[in-house]
Amino acid sequence: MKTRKMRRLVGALAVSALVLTACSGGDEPETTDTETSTDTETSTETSTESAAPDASAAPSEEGTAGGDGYDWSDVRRRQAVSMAINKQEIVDVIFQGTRAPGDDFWPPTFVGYRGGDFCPNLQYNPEEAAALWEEAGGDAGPITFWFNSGAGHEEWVEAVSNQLQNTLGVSDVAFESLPFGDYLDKLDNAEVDGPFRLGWLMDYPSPGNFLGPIHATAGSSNHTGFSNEEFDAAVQAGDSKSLEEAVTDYQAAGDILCEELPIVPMFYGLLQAVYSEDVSNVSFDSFQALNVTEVESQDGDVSVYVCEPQNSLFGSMTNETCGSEVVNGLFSGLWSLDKDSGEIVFDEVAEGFESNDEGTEWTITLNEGWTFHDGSPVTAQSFVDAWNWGAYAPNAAQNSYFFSLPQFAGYGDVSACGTREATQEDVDAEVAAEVGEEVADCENSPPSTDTISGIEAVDDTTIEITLDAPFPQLPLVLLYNAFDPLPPSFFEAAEQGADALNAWGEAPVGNGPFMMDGSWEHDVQVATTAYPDFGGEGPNVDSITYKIYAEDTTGYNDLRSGALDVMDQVPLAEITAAQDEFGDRYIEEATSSFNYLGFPIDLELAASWHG
Amino acid sequence: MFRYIIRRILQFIPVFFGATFLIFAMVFAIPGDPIQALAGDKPVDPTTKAVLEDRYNLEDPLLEQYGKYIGLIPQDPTLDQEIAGEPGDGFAGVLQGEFGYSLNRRPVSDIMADAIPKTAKLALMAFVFEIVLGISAGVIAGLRRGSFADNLVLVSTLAVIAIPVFVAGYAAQLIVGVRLGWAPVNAAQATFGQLILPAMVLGATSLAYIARLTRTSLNENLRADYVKTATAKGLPRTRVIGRHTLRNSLIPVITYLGIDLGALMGGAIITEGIFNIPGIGRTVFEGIIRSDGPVVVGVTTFLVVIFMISNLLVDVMYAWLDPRIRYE
Repeated sequence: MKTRKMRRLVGALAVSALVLTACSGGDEPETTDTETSTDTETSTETSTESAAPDASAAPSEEGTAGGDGYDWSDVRRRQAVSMAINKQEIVDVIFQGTRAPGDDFWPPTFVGYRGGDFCPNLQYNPEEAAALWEEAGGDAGPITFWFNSGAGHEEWVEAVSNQLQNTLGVSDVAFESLPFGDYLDKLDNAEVDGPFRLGWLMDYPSPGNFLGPIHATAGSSNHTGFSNEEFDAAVQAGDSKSLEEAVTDYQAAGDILCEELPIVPMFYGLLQAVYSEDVSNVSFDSFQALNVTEVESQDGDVSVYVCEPQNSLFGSMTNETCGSEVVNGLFSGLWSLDKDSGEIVFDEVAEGFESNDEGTEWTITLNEGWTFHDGSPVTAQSFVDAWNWGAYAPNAAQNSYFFSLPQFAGYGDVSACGTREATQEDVDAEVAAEVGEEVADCENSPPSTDTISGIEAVDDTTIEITLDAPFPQLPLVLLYNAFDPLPPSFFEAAEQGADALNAWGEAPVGNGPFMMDGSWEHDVQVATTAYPDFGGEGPNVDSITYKIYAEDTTGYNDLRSGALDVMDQVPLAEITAAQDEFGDRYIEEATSSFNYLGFPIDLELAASWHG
Repeated sequence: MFRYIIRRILQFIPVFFGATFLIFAMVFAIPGDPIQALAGDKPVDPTTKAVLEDRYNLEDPLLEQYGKYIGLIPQDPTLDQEIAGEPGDGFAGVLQGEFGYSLNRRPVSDIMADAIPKTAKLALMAFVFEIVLGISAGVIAGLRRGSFADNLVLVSTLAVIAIPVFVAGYAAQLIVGVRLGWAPVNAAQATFGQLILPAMVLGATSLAYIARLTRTSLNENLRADYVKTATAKGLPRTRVIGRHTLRNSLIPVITYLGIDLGALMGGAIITEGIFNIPGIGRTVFEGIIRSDGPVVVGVTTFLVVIFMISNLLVDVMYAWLDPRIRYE
């Protein structure tokens, strides 16, 4: 069986495949997804054709490999499974308390989180679960669980299956574990026909980000095929309001999810950090990166645990936690977020922002006197150029998706390729579903322009933004490092081609509190020193060295031997010992990510959105 | 001898193409979409995906991809070049010295230039360590069969062989690195001082095999007719052993060493992982996890070449060690 083989292979190859994959984009890199206007257009088109009412398409019927005999569009099945899972037990036994059990549809770090008893359907209730299960038809053969392999999901998925067997009397279970790329492929093509594992990490700190993409009709990561008009309306209403006003709408959407249960939130991630006696004042920001300007050190240097960054070291390209940690010190964006109050703080380049009442016209004013590490000034144009570069599709920036979150006027012109009619060749290459349908054709008709018309630098310190739809939460989106500015030297390098750009990304010129000290030594370290002309409040230490580790165990041992100062990924096996050994120097706090178990409610519908 | 070497070198050519093609085909066969995997839990923007697939020739059939990779088929212009109206890069493959780019857009030649010296250093240190200690222990044990020294070598090598390398590695790291503080835990820079402990861990198992091989082989040869003849001729014992017995006894050891050098280069994944050494074992492993074809094929091609050269050296050494062996 594929599953077994895969597992054995991974196990044999390395002691800690888990860690490697977590770092190399396996588990939940800080990253993301999709949706150009073409995508949306074609998908809405097709979805009207094939949008069958939930009940009529029993997903199990077209089941392929290992398909199970359950009708997951029956809400009682989903509720029964949810209530049969004892998340607390899984968290305690398998994760030794290093995660928090899922009791809401977004993590506790967000406003409007209720948790606790708010949703009885998410609480462990074996009697009710068994009753509902019987009512829905009881046992119907094996349930197939799907998850990505090599990322540490085997144990908890197996635990869930055991609980279902014990509580619901499910006669048999099967597992399909696949490498990540293959797994996502299968999800996109709706070949995943049993409960499946996925995760989500916030793009911007709003519950809306945990609702729309995962559950809305044609949402970019909606793989369940859940589609509910009331829910869509509630999310849309929330998205068009400021965060405080939106909470009621988001909670209303959460209530619908609680009834319908397209997914079961399994657990929220927690950050476990330890630090040496040499450093103090260690804290982490809302994106779980070290607060570099606050940390203090006895010898003036702080060494920080990271895994090997996967991309060039600047905001448009860096979409995973390892690289973000480094980019965070090298670049400063517009503003930051106070983690406790959830308020925007103007301690970076911007002095403030204004918007019209609707939230479609925005004016951002920048502080004067900020410079890049090579001395060139940080102007409104530095931001606008950087955003245009990041959004322009042929540049294939890893973070291009972030520019699709707010509907910038004219975004479609830089992000979408032209289309042509599909040919038999495309069908063979699995590009389009049918001959005659339209497919994107970037080669012959690239995007019509490389600048977003809705973003403009009016003068050196003013950026004007026009949105197609009201989006009062725009400032929250702009927090992310995809929206950092880039200096003229970057664009000169980009002009010269891939090699020059790559070289620039090895020793980037940023505007943050720390600047590169030499080049990025791959798999060894990134050394940075304090930038003396930093525009904001400078750091307390002279230098930060990001030491790169492939395995967290090595990093942890290095910290214990005194060669490393801060580590935010304590190995699971060491958690209990670490709490004793480090005492006050052990930090545990909530993060903005979660893992969930999704149900294939309507596979055909989901496929029509993503295929 | 010279003709033999030339013939062997000519044989490298089909082996090179065969091996690279097989590896390429296997990476090609890994299911799933590498571009998709780059983005983690979330789907990729379709345009971005199309651009990247175009850049890495992922949409081409296997043979065409391989041809472009190896440099027998010219590269198509990339999207940027097409927009700018420029032609493609022409023939740009392994044969032209271009190893392409990894999926995260780093030149594979850079990756190899970073990783190979580190692994080579580690492997060489382990190699010297196992040869010097392994052969010495084997000779001592072999010459004094049944003595205390012999039994000590037998028992201790058995223990070393029985302990898996990751247990030995983590134990050494914890005791020597963390508790005693005698050696650094992190050997990422791969300096001589940093590599001493990892090299000992890496070489330990082979050391045990070499000691046992040397001992057995020496034991056998000590009873061979030519040794009796040499002793009967009245040669001094040092000469009988050093010149006649040991030299012949080393043939199986050399065979083992030849395979081992390649294995040390490619098989150091676990040691490299434990001590955080960014060598080629780790590079290949991460490349496989990410379906990063250019990296996997580039580095394994290098390993293939290393295996071929070390095997040739071994065959040549046979002739030097045992004058009875002739290749002409």
